[in-house]
Parts: sequence; C-alpha cells; structure tokens
Amino acid sequence: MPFVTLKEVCKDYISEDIHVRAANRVSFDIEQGELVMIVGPSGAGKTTVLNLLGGMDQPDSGEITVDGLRIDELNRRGLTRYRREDVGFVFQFYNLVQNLTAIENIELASEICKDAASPIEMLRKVGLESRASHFPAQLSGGEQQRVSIARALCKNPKLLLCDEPTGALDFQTGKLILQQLQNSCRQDGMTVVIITHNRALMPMADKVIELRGGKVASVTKQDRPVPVADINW
Amino acid sequence: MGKQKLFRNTLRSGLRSGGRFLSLFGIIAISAGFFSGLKVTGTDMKDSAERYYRETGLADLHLRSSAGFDEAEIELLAARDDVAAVCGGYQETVFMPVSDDAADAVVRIYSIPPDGQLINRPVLTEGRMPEKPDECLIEAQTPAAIRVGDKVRAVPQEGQTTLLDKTEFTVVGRADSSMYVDFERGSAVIGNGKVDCFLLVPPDAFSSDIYTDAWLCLTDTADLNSFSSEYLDAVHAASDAILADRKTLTAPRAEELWQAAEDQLAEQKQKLEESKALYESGVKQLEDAVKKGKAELKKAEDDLKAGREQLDKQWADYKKNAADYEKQSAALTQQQKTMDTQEQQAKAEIDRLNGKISALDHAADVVDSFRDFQFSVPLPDDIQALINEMSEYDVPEMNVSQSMREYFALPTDSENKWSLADDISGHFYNCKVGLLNQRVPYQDTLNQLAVNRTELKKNIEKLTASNQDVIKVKDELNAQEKKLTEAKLEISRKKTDLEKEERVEQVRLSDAKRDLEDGEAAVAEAEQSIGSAVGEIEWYAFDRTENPGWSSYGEDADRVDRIAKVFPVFFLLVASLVCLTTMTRMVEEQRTEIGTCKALGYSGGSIAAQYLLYAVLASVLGTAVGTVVGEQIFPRVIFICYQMMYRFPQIRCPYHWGYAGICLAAALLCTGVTAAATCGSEMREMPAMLMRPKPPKKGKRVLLEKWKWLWNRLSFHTKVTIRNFFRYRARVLMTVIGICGCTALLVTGFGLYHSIAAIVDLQFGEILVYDAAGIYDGSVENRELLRDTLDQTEAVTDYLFGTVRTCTVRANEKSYEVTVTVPEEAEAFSKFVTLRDRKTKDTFTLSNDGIIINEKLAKLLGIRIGDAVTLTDAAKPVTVSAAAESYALNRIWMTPACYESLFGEQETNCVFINEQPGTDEDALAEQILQSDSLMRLDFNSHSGDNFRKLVKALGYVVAVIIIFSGLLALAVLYNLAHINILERIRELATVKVLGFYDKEVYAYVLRENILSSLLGIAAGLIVGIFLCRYVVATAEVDVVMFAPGIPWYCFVLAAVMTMIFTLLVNLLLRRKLRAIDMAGSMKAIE
Repeated sequence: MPFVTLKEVCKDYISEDIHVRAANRVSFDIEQGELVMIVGPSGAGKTTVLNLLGGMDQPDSGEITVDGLRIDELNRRGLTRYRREDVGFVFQFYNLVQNLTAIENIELASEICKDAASPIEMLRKVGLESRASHFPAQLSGGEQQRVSIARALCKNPKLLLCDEPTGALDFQTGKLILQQLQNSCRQDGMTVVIITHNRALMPMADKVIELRGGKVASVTKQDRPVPVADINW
Repeated sequence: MGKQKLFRNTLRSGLRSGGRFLSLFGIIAISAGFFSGLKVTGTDMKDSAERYYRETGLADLHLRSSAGFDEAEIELLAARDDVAAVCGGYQETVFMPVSDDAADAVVRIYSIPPDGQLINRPVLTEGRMPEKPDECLIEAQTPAAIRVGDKVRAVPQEGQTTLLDKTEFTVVGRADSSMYVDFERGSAVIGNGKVDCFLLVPPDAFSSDIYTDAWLCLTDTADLNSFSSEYLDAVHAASDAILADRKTLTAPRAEELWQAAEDQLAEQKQKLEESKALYESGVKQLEDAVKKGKAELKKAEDDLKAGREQLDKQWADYKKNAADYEKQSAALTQQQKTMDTQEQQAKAEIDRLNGKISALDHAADVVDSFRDFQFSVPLPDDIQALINEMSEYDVPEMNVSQSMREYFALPTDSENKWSLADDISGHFYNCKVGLLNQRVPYQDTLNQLAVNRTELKKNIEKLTASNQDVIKVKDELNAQEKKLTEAKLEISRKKTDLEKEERVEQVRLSDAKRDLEDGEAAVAEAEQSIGSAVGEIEWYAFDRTENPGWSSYGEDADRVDRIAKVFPVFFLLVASLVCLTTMTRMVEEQRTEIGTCKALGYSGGSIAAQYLLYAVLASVLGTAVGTVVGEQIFPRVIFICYQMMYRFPQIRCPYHWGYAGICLAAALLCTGVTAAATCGSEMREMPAMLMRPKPPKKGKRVLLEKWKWLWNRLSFHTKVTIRNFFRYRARVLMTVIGICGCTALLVTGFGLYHSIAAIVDLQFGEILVYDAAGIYDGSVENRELLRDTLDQTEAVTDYLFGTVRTCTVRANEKSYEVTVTVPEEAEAFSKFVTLRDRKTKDTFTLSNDGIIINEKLAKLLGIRIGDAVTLTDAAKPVTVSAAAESYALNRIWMTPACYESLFGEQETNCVFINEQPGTDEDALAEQILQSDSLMRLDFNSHSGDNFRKLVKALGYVVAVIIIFSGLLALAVLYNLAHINILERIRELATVKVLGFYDKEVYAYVLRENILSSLLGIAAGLIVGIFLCRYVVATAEVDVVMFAPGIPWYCFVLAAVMTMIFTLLVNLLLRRKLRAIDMAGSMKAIE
C-alpha cells in the first residue's frame, strides 16, 4: 500500500456559466520519503491536485488516501485537522504573516500543532536563526521562502506540499530552496511534493508526474535522481 | 467611446461589489433619513398645527370684559385697523348628566361663531352643524355614552344663574375645535373643578344680548407663523393697543352702565330710606311693648304680694282656731273621763249597797221562812254561812248573829222564836233602811252625772261642728295657696318671655341697624365711586400662550427640535467617517485597475470620474431615498406618539429640499471628495507601480514589546492581536470612534429619557408632596367655609393655607416669571413641599431673612446663594438663602414675615391639602367643591399624569433614536470589519491553510474587533456623559429642569446594547470568514 494514493479523482470548477474540469480521473501513488514533482503547463490542473492533496479542497469523485486516511471523506473540521497535523505548505509567494517576525510566523504553526519542533531549531536548520526577530518585509525573497519552509516543516508533517516554491526567486536562491527541500527529503525522510512548470527541475525528483489538461499524462520513476547542485536552468 | 466603456466599468463594479455599494448607500440613506427626518419633525409639527389653526381661524386674541361686550363694542373692535375679524360669543359652564351610573360631566358650552366668520370654526367630524337653538355639537372628549342623535341636558349648579336659554339640546354632530388641541379642557368652579368636555351650540341658545367673550383675529399676524416670536410680538403689540384704547371703545357702553348704575343707586337710596323708617318704627314698637309688658308684670306682682299677706293672716286665724279646738276638745275629754270615774264609783257603791240590801232581804226572808222550823245544833252549813254573813250587822244593841243562832236553834214552839224573829227582822229592816239611806246620795250623784253628761255631749257636738268649719277653712286656704303659687310662676314666665322677646327684638334691630349702616356705607361708597366703578370697564386679553394646548404643543415641538439639534449631527459625523473609510478602501482596492487604465492612456480625470460617479450615485440615491423616507417616517411616527396628547387632524410632511441638500452635500463631501482625493494620490504614482498592488502594510513592533518582561508573558495570540491592533490603527480608530458614537448616542438616549421620566416622580412624589392644591378668592368667609369643609372631610389628613402669586424676578439684567408660594406657617410647610438640596438631599427651612428659589432659576439668573434679587412690586430686593430642587416651573418660597416685608400684609388665597392614602379623588373633589368656596382644585396625581403622557411620547422619540443608533452601530461595525477582512484576506487564508479551526480563525480576527469595541464602548460611555449633558441642557426649556445625572443602568444598557451589536456583527462576519477561499486567496501576487 503506497503512502499516498489518488484514485480516479475528479474536480470541477463551476462559476456562473463556465464549467471547468480541473482534474479528470487523476490517479497516482506516492511512496513515503519520495520527492515527487508534478509538472505541466499552466492550467494543467497542478494546483488543483495540490489543493486536493493538501486538504484545501475536496474532490467531486474519486479517492485520496494519505497514510491510510481517506481525506476525501473528511468533513470540514477533519480536513482542518488534517492540514494542521499532517501537511506542510510552501507557497510561491511565501504567504508569511506580515505583522509577525520570522520566528513568530513559525510559532503561528507550531502553536497549534501537537508535537511541533522548536521554532528556533527550525530557523537554525534553514540557516536564519540570526534573523529570527525580523519582519518579512525586512527579509529577502529567499529568506522569506526559507522561513516559509521552516514554518511548514516545524510541525513534522507527513507530507510537504510546495506550490512553485521557486517561482518568484532568482536562480541561485531557487537552487538553495530546492536544496533545502531535497535535504529534508533525503535526510529526514520527508515525503515532498513539488509543483512546478519548470521542467528543468525534473531530474532531482524520485518520481515525476506530468499533467496535461487535467489528466495524468505520464508517471516517470527516476531511480537516480540528480542532486540539486548539479541542475542548471 | 472610451468614456462609455469606463462608465460601463463603473456600473459593473458597482453591481459586482453590490454589498459595498449597498452598505455605502445604506449608511448614507440611514443617516440622511435620520438627520433630515428628525430635523424636519419639529418644523412639520408646527407647520401642520399652524395650517390647522389657519384653516379653522383660531383667534389670535381672546378678550373678556368685566361687563361683557355689547354689539356696539364688537362693531367698534371690528372697525379697528389692526383687527382683521372679530366675533362676539358666549360661554357657560354647567353640568351635563351622562348616564344613571356615571357622575355628571362638567361641560363648557360655547356659542358657534356665525357662518360668515372664520374664527374658531369647529371642524365637523361627524353629523351636521346645528341649525336650531336647541341643537348642539359634541366633541371627541365627550363621554362615550353620549352619541350623535342623543339629547343632552345642561344643568346649572344649585344657585348658579346661567345665560342659557335652552336646557336641552339634540346632538346633531361631532366636531373638533382648534381651541383645544390637547385633552385638557380647563378648570371650572363647579363639580370636581375640571371641565370634562365642551359643547358647541348656536348663539341663539343664549338668552343674553351681552356677549361674554370677544374673539379676534389680527391683521398683523396674517403672514406670521404663530409659533414664531414675531407673531407673539405682533399679538402683544395689538393687544396692548386695544387695551390702551379700551376707554374709547367702551365709552358708549360705560355711559349706559353709568346711567344704569345711577338708577340703581337711586333705587338703593330709596330702599335705604324705607328700611331706615322701618327700623325706627321697629325701635319704638319695641320700647312700647317692653314698657307695657313691664307694667303688667308689676301689677301682677303686687296682687300676688297682697294675696300672700291675706292668706298668711287667714292662716294665722286658722291656726289659732285649730289650737282652741284642740284645747277645748281636751278639756271636754277630761270632763268626760272624770264623769265616767264618778259614775263608775257611784254605780259601784249603789251596787254594793244594793247587794247588801238584797242580802238583808234574803236573810230576812230566811229568818221569816224558818219561823216554823227548828234546826238542830250545830246548824247547817248554809245557815251558818248566813249567820256569818250577817255578823256584820252586829251592833252593841243587838247581836244579830247571836240572835239568829238562837233563833234557828230555838224550837218552833218557843215563843221567843217569833219575837226573836221579829227582832231580827226589825233589825234587818233598820239595817236596810240605813243602807237605803246610804244609797240615796249615790243615786243623786248618778242623776247629776246624767245631767252633766247631756250637757257635755252638747258641748262636744258644738265643738265638733265648729271644728268642721275650721277644716273647711284649711282646704280653702290650701286652694288659695296653690293659686298663689301658680300666679307666681305665671309672673316669672311672663318675665322671661318678656326678656327674651326684648332680646330677640334687640338683636333684630341691631342687625337691621347694621344693615342699615352697611347700606348707608354702600350707598355712600357707591355715590363716591360711581364714576370709577362704572367708568372703568376692565378688559382682559388672552393670547394663544394662555391656551394650554397651543403652548405645550409648541414647547413639545421645540423640544423635538432641540433634541434634533445634536443627535443627528453627531450621527452624521459618525456616518461620514464610515463613508470616508469605505471610499478610500474602494479606490485603493481598484489600484490595479487604475494603473491599467492609466497605462492604456486614459486621463487621470476620466479615471477619477468613474469613482466620483460611483460616489455621486451612492450619495444621490442614498440621500434621495433616505430623506424621502426619513422626512415622511420621522415626523409621522413622532406625531403619532404626540397624538396621545394632542388632537390634530393630520400632519403634513412636505419635502424639505434644504435638509436634503445638506445631506447630499455631506454625503458628496464624504464620498466624492474622498474618492477624488484618494484617486489623486494614487494617480501621482507611475502606472507600472500602480499595476502592482500596494505593498501590504509592514509589520512593526509595538512599544509594548520593549517591555520584554510583560511581552514574553503574553500569549502568542494576544501578541498577534496587539500588533494587529496597532498595525491597522487608522481603521481601529474608525471602529472605536464609530462604536464610541453609538454608545454615546445610546447613553444620551437613555439618559435623556431618564432625565425626563425621573422628573414626574421627583417633582410630584418627592418635592411637591401635597396631594391637592386649591385656589380661592382670598376672602375670610370662604376661608372659614373652606376650613370647616376640610375639617369635616375625613379623607383630608392635613391642610395648610398659603399665598400663591406670580411675579417677575429680576437679577443680572435678566427676568423670569416665577410662582411665589408663601405658606401661612413656615414650620408646617415641610409636610407639603420638600425643600432640599438636589445633591446632598439636605432639607432647607424657610427663614425670615431670605427666600428659597429653585435651582434652575438660580442658574437662569446666574446668581449664587446670598445674592439679592428684585421681585416686581416688592418693597426692596431680597436675599436668596438657598436653591432648592424643583423641576417644573420657576418657583420662589418665602415665609409670611418675609412676604410682609416685601409686599405688605399677606392675604392667603390657596390651600395645600394632604389626603389619606387610597382616597377617591373625584369624590373628594366633589366634596370639597360643594362648599363653593374654591375657585379651582388641582390634584398632583392629575398633573403627574399629564407629565407622564409627555414622558411616554418622548420615550418613543428616544426609542427611535436608540433604534437608529443601533442601526448605525451595526452599519459602522459591519463595514469596518468587512474592510478589515478584505484587507487581510491573504493572511486569513494562510492561517486557515495552516490548519486553524474555524473558531480559532474567528478569534484571530474578531478579537481585534471586540477589543476595539470595548475601547469604543469605554470611550462612548465617557463621551456619552458629556453628550447627554449637552443634549439635556439643549432640550430643556426655561420652566423645566430635567433631572440631571445619568443613572448607572443607562450606562449598563448602552454598553450591553453596543456589545450585542458587536456580537451580532461578529456573527455576520463569521459567515464571511468561513467562506474565504483559501486556494484562491493565496494566488494573488504579493
């Protein structure tokens, strides 16, 4: 039994007269400790799948199982608990709370989680302990994203979901972030799912799932993923 | 073309953000409605009343004359330039029986003005106008038992003379009169002192030619609103002018009256002469009668005395006779006794002698018989006994016993025997003769005695006969004695009668004399004063201020006006702030769009125009709807409230463009100018900058963080809340101000209500503790009559006479009308009126060296304790010794001594009455008024009731204010909180994504709301104190003091209600928060 399973998942978005099938019978598995990359062009349904996986939205049909938990069957509160306990998010635009310092942003997550890691420890891990009491506006984009990663990781999630984590960053910084993600996967055994439209990143993943038009176009397992440092784009 | 597209964009964005447009529109509409509605209410009320007065031609001036008005006077008045119309009329107050089980109503009957004149025209609400003298109109206040078509009777009080020609009327219709717009019908001197309703009859129903009233409409007031001061000035000027011309106007009538008075005087004099003569003859008659009576009495007394003397003499004779008789009678009795003794003795002697004789005879017989018989010796016993018996006759010459013995023993043959026998018999004979001789004197005595006795008997008979006479004399004397006593009684009775008669007659005469003197004095006075009494016909002018309905309605409208002064302005202020925020936010949100349009080459002006258009649209629509609805609803609702107290046919609510203009200007200023200004500042930036959203506000440390010790101890969420609180301080400030305004309005609303409501219980429950006050004419007779009545009335526990008068008080170049109250006994006054300090509740006592005034008056005059004030007609200024708590009317209290020093001798004219708890006041009133000594009687419970009605009406006004404050609070809070959520939607989405439960999310953001609400409430409670104080001060009229101070429950209510609004808004916002689309919100660029 794989760690994460999506089976025949469908999701429609209906707004007024426009009917969009964002996910059409999507099925794939993810093993524990894998670094999975979901790629595809804009509008392929990457974010929809990520939202469904992250418990931010619910499928219209199909099954989603995470570590034995059928999250498609959860109610509002169950989903919230799932997000709270089991999932960490990293967004393209970091989504840090502007009015909280770096450490406080991490605390925002750790406060509500049962066995959270120490926020300052997490900051150290991402190399920002010296900037703990800085506000987001005082940090660079990369630093903000690292805080974001620290916030996602501090609650020891089962799944780390990243939506275009390097989309707003320059090459070097992006690489640093990806390194960070790869490290958590490799060193801490974290299951990481990264969404990107940048196909150049594909070699670093254990598995690459390609979406097109809301459907799974291909699932490629790569036995020998390339370290981030060796990737160039 | 492009402009059209832009315009379409505006419309579309207006529709798309329907909620925002609606809330902007709503705030503008609510505040415009509230502002204009409340502002126009007072004006509408007055204008409607004014219109009603005009349509019915309510008289500007009401004249009454000491002599009534005749047709000529009315014509003279009508001919004046300053009088537009005049109408003579009648009024009379009588009883009207209602039904068998209800008390008679006191009804004031007015004559209906003739058809041609528009003065005090009744407005028919039912039926038709009267056409015949015995037809009448009833009114709304007429007891329900009487309906159109019924017959009613007018019954005068006992001894009351009326001008009414008819006493029975057929009710042909029902009407309102603009003379009575409230439900008070004035006071009467009959019944319970209160007029219950009025009745309108044709003038023909009155018998008099002399009108009792003259009703005037003035020329100068034609174009003036009667609630304006210009109107009152014009009326005063006209009334002064008319009163000044009074002499000319009344001259012909005065002449007539003069003649009549002179005739009357002559008649009076004649009568006086007659009664004088009558009196004098009376005096003479009395004197004669008394003299005669006295003479008669004297004679009777003399007769009595003579009779007495004679009788006494007779009595003396009688007594002597009686004594004689007794003496004689005794003597005769003695004689009789002696005779009886003598007779007895004589008889006894005779008997003895007779015995002896018979014994001798016997012995002789025996001796004789035994001549032939010899006894053996001893002799038989009986013989022996005989011998013994005869031994007494033994004499020396002859021993009888010896002889006898011998004799008997001698034999028969003896010679001796016979001789012996003869001897013996001879002896015996001798003895017998001796005895017989002895008996003779006794026999004589007896014979003598018998003679004597006959004589004695004759004497006794004579005496008895004479005694009978004496007894007869005694009876006679007794009878005479009785007669004498009767005569004596008769005399004393006559004497008393005479005295009494004399006394009575004297009293009558002295009365007559006094009357005569009075008459003389009256005639003398009349003679002297005939000029002034008749020449001075007094006229009294009453303008509309004397009409209680008119003036209290005006005051009520003013009160609404005054409340409308502050409330809506404050309201508008708060609403403006919200509009400001909303507009700013809207323009900022559309930043990208502005940038795009600018990049596309649209000019700044045309871009700004679309926001201006949006603002103008919201403003115009909001103002239009708000003012149209508000200016209709507010006056009508408030008018309906006041219809509890007033009877006006209807209110008219014209649209007031002015207030609509003000509202529109304010709305445009807040929305349009804000939009333009915000656009302007946005547009200064480069389009490229604009294309990117405005960077979110940077996080900042708050000052509190410097205090590490405390900061580190705060919970994480508290820290977040505090930081956010300061981060969005502009909006927080808006919220705080909005909530503060709402709370302050609520505090003011409740406080104002309390201020008014509390007056009733304070004034009529604690200050004026007497139950009733009566006014009488000040005469000693009525005072005594009243005293008797009150003493006899069981329900009256206590009463106190006093003086009440109005005068004008002056100080610091200000003057006010005041009611001066002077109790007869200052010490007892505390049982009737509590004079105390409002704050300390210390009671004041009246002292001779100063007056006590009410607190409000002190404030109005701007004086302190110890300052002096001047009263009109007072001899000197007087010191104010205390300012006492009192809420209605301006009052002065002083001691009789103080009064005397100012105005001269005190003449009491009122009485304060305390009654037993639970007294039926109607019955009490009737009982007290029956004595006819009072001019009016007012019960405090009644005055209190009127006030309570006013409070109720004001209560509704305040309720409307409170409801609108609540709506405002809701609108403000919702709008601001909504903006807050919109601005921070990413942050909230993030928090949700992080797995905050719904509750935690609500808490995360609403905590700030609650904190700002609490701050707002706290501020509002404080601001409320001042606002309330200000509103109370503004709404107060001169003669009323609202109870100052806001009780704690007003604060609690205001706080709780605001809190409820806050929670309500929070509840609404929860749905918004729940609906936040996490995925969508995260997408936006940062």
